[in-house]
Amino acid sequence: MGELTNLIGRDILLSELLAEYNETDLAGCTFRPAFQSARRRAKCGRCGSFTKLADTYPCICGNSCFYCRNCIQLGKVRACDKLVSFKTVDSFPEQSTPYLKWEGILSAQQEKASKEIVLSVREYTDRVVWAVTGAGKTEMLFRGLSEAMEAGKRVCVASPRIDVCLELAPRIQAAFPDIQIALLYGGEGAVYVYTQLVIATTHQLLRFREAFDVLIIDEIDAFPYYQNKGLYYASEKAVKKESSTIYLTATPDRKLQRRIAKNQIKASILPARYHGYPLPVPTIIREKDIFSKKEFSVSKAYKQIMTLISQGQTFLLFIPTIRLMDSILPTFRRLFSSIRFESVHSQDPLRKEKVEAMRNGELEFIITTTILERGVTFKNIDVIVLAADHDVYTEAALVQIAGRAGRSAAYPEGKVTFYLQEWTRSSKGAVRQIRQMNKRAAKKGLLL
Amino acid sequence: MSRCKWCGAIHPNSLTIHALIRFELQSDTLCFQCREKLECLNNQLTCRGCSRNQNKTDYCTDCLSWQKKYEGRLHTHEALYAYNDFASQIIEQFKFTGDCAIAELFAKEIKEYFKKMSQTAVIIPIPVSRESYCSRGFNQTELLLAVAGVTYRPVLENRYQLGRQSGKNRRQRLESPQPFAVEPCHDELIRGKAVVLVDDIYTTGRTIYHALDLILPMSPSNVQSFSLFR
Ligand SMILES: [Zn+2]
Ligand SMILES: [Zn+2]
Ligand SMILES: [Zn+2]
Ligand SMILES: [Zn+2]
Repeated sequence: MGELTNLIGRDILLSELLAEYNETDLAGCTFRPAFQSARRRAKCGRCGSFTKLADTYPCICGNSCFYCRNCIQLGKVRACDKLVSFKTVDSFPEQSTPYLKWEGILSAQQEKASKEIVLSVREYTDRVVWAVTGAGKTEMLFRGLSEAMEAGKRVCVASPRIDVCLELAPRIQAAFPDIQIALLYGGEGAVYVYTQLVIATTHQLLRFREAFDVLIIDEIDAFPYYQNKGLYYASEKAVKKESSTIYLTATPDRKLQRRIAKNQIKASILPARYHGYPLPVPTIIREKDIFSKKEFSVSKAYKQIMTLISQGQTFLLFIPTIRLMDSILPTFRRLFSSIRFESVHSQDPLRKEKVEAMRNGELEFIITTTILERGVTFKNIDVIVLAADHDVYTEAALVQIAGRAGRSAAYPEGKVTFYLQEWTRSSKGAVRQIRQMNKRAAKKGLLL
Repeated sequence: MSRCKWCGAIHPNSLTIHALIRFELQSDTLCFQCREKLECLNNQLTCRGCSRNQNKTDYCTDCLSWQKKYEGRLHTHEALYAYNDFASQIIEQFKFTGDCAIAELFAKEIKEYFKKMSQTAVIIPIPVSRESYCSRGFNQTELLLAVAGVTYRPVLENRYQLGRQSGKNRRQRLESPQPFAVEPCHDELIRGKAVVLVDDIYTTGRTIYHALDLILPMSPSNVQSFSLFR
């Protein structure tokens, strides 16, 4: 039999629960219809997206029912189903204080942001933490998390990206060794248990309702805006009426930047990297039709690549799509037959091994699609983006890509080059954002 | 602009040569990238017996061994697309996740395929096991036909709860006993008619030949079969 505590703050389909629970066990729960109908459409109670009432198909109930396609990967929400949640006051086993066992040191700007986060948690206010790539975000969260949990609050750290969740979990667990963490990312076979601290993909947030006092969302910019609409719905549903949501980002979209500028949301801005050197500003080189050139070896990009190789400088070479990468690879194999390099894309099963080889100095360069745009760090690396004016590059993506360079204190001056035919909104915005953060950092005296 | 029914990407309405010739501007249900991943079988070299993708049009080894078993009977099976990785993702989402709207992706092609059939042909979908039907709420093959506007006769029943075919290896599939049954009252419907057996995927042919074993004694004028994937 299923435990009722496992339904606290959850938002689960009745059809799904009946495998584990009797209907009488669920007597104390709240039941909501799976959809709310309005005119010709119905809104999914779990993910908030709309379905046409007319899109019905044969259903397990014997009738014809519509269902939600948007969140179907979490299990099919059918019109005839119900969403179940158990509402009660949270209570968690008490631990020895302080909950936080981490004893590292924060930089001045991290210290300030950390205090501001604690304040937001205490006052139930929302906050954006806008920290440049390489500012050291995770450590600034610890005190806020500790404060919340010691006060008996329920906390969730979420990210749109699975790899971010998987990377955060061990670091947070190490800082809070006595706290049980539920790590939810959809790939796990593990059984869900009720815990004070949850680390989850934002997709998994849809399975919660009024659950958290504090919600921290890392890398909110990792998806384009139209997907973010769902993200905001999920986060609003997952938090309690009185709660604090902290958004972490290195590259807020324009809408969020405007809200920050107008003081509509509180913001902690960390314009400097922890090592105190400015962000590398991309050099722009105009180059026409870089992929349709008869001979890549006459391009300016080729010249730069040859120079880097002769200097022994390792680099990442970004290509917009897998298809373009496939088209240029034979040329590269021919031109650089004596050079050790690899290509990496999202469907590459050897991705991790190749990145590791690069880190170990076994490669001169990696050709990659946007898959290496964030999360991955290398010590001493230059960055080249071919066709930086391609549609796939959002402003956030270009800022993140440029942010791969100069991460380490030993090599803070990595070079970034964008090859483009013409300026785009995204490329312009990215360069502006990087310059602006450097200016801010200089003004605050955070640069060496 | 329209939204790809598979990946959700927004894409411009495609103006295909096909559409140009018929002066219609119809948006594709799939975006260009997804459409490209489907391997159309009708412009490739395939087995003349079962549409299997190969480098010649002769009967494949599977077909030859079925012919031996059936004393030289030459069966014809046609399929629209190769059952590649993309197709298996689609089928997974359609059958097991229960995303019924997937049927819309192929409505146009299936409708066109059956247009060339005789009006009197009896179209018979392969049934799914009772437990699959109860847990999914639909038979994927019937749904594909229904959404395409093709009239079908659910003559075959699945009497046995043998678990699903997809959980079996090739050998187990070939050895599985007759799972279907047909009521004698359908004799009239089938006698002297052209029959088309329809399934979502054709793998070893075992399922179709089980159905054949029941339909052939009812004296149809001709039996062939069709699947979305091969
Ligand atoms: Zn939904
Ligand atoms: Zn129903
Ligand atoms: Zn698509
Ligand atoms: Zn064949």
